[in-house]
Amino acid sequence: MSVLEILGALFMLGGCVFALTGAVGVLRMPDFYARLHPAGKSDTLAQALILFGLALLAGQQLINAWPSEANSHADAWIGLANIILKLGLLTALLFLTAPTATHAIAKAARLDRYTRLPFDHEPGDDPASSRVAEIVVAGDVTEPLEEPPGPVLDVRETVAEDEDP
Amino acid sequence: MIEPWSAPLANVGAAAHSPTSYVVLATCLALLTGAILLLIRALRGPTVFDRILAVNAMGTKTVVLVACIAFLDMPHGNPSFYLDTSIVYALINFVATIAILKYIQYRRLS
Repeated sequence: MSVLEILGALFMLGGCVFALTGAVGVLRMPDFYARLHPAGKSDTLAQALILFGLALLAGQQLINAWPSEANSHADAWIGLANIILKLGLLTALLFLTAPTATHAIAKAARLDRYTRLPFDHEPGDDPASSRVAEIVVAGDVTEPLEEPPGPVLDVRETVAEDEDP
Repeated sequence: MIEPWSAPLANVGAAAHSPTSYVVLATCLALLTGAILLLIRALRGPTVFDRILAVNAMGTKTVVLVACIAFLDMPHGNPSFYLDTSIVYALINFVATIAILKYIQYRRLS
């Protein structure tokens, strides 16, 4: 193993540790708002570390396949550079989308007054339960949202209008 | 002097027994273990938001797992196709999470 492969293996090992601890945290945390924490952050770091380790492994192969006098296969490095480029693109994409999705889940749960866990406890009964949802913020939805039905995707009205003539 | 027809076979044998392939395989197994733990949370989750959170994290792990499988297949095929698959899966995962959340909140998708 060369230096780049050992570095890549170390990065992938760190990514495995973060992925496993994140999964165990999602499984074992006491309530929903605590489960958001390992799912949102450790997964992002784990995928970044694992994909960077894979990019280092591909970089070692790129150095091996670099065209020189002894190596006449001059086209192999283009495919490996393509792989490294795609790994970088995938890392950037997951860095953008994974925290955004976690934020959307947290906001949807908060606006839905997702509070059914800790309400039947007195303060001090269960120290593991959160009382986040008792705080009233602007934008809370205490009852289901009442919007006027849109004319575009309401299938039944559209079908009824089509069947009238 | 290396004959050109024996070079790919030597490459396959070296890559199949190199330590890096074992590292990639161990990473795949760790990601599968994490996905199984998240699946337990998704099946057990008391509310729908727990299930969405667990499925979203499983999707992220699946993207990384497909990229690792690409590097398991490195000497035989072109890993670039697997990476295309994982990029598309990352996009679909994000869009599906947002769509499911919107459907849960407003009960319709418009």
